[in-house]
Amino acid sequence: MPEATQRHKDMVAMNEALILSSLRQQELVEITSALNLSLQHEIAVRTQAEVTLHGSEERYHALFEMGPVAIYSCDASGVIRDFNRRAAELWGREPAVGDNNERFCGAYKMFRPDGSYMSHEQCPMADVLSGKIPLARDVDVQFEQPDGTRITAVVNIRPLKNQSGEITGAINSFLDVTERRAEQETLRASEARFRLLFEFIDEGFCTLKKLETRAGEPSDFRYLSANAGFEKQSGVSNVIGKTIREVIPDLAEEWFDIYDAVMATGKSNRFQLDLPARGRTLELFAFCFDDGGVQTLGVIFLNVSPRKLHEEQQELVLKEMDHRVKNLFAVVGGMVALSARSATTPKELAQTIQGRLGALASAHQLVRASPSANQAIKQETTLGELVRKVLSPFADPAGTGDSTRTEIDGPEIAVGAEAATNVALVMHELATNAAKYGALSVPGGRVHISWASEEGRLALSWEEKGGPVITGPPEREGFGSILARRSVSGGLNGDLTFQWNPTGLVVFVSAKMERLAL
Amino acid sequence: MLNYVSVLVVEDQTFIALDLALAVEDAGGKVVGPAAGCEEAMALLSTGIVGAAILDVNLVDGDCSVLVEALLGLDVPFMIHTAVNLPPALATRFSGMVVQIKPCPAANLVARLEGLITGHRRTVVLAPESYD
Repeated sequence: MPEATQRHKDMVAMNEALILSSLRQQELVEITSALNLSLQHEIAVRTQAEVTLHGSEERYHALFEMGPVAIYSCDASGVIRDFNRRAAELWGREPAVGDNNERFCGAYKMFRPDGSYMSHEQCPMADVLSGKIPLARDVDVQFEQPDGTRITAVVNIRPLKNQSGEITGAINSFLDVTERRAEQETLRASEARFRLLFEFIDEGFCTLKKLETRAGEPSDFRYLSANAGFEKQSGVSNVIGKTIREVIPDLAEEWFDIYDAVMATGKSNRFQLDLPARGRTLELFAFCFDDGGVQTLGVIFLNVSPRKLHEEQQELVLKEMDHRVKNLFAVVGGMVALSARSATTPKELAQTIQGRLGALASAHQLVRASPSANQAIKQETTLGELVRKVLSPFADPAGTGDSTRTEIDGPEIAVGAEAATNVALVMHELATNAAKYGALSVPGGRVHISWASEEGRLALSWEEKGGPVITGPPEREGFGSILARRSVSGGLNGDLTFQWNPTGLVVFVSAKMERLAL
Repeated sequence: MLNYVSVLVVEDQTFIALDLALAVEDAGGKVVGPAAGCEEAMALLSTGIVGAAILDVNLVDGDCSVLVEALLGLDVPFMIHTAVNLPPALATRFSGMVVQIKPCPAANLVARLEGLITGHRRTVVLAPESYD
């Protein structure tokens, strides 16, 4: 092979290599320049990030210091790493940061919401750091400051973890809720007081919600609550959850009309209605109120039947009194007119009237009002009491101390108001006669009064002894005797018999027992 | 004057009954009774002739309705003598009755009765339901 040809071949190869190398160099320059650009960008970004991070940290720090929330953090062992101004304010002190003796919380003393003491090792921060609880959300804790002030705080604690999930510390943010809790407590106490009041008042109380009804459909209400007085006053039990129409099916529509009007107008209403199913009259006060956004009807009521009955009884007593007073005037009028017919002197007239008035007064004094089963006014005394009372002015008129001039002896028998007047008059007229002409007109004279009841009749005897000797019946029946006879025959449906024995007058009085009770 | 007219006195209060009875006698009348209750008065009405009557309302055995009915049936003039207003049942059943409220002097009452007897005509009307 010629030498020139070989040379040429070498030249070409070298040239090719050279071209290749220059190409590579170009590539290298381009790569280097790209790297540079990228680096520069990286630096620019990093610088920017550092500025941002710094600003953010500053902002967070301002928030940390100035915000209304108290914040502190602990390391895994509970040692306090930092706290903000608000935390120190609420604690009332500044704990030493990084001190092994200040762990879990900077408070002086801690208590649970129920008031029991809570050591620092038992506090929620300790529980979060130990992993006993994953976090604390809205837990109430009470702090006591060194000066004794109590603070109630609501506490939120979140653990801090490293990449492998180990707890490295925790952050606690807490708020002062002392005032809010106090307000809530006041409200709760006031609510409890009112609940107690409504539970224990005599009045019935219930709350009702109006049911949704279509037009034309009768309205109805559902009982939301009812107190103990509800059953006592209405006689209806177990109403809660039921509707009025379910509980009292025949209730007058007037009730619903009134309730509807109260709900529609919001104007309370006081009214009285009968509850025929329970035989009572209720006095009610219905009002409308907003119970947490729901229009609710409140009803307070009282069973006024006993009061009405009492009023009716009083009315009856008053009417009866009026009747009796008028009647008494009529009786006294008759008594005066009658007494005037037989009296010979004004003095005698006065004495007679006084005696008879005294007998009526005795009867009246003894009959006392006592309410009886049928609600009518019934008054009664006993026969012995009445006889003793009427005869008391005659028993010892001279005041000699001889109180045995009248002997009274008989079983206790009830005497009604009407009969008492008649019995008193008979006794009075007989005693007046005895004092004028009979046993009571002389010292040592006696009257023995005794009675028994048999077969629905009363038999009473009046026996005079030790008086002047009697020669026979009087020529003319005295007015006193007429009065006595009339009182027995008319008022007591009985009769009066006189026996004019020489040793003394004996009078037998018979009367119907049922008349005696009137 | 009552000129021997028999007057039935129905009154359970002894003093008033006797006072009325004597006032009737004073005016020249004859007393029938006095009766304290309806039963007694009805017995007197059935055995004798009664020309007029004075009735108390509340008697020992109830109110005087039965007597009012009987006297109206016999066309006998009568007066109601009472301390209370007439019971509603009585007032609605019988209208036009002559009523004297107590207290009233017996002589005045009797004088009024005299006038009633003199001008007697049917002034009291039975309510329709009473005819059944």
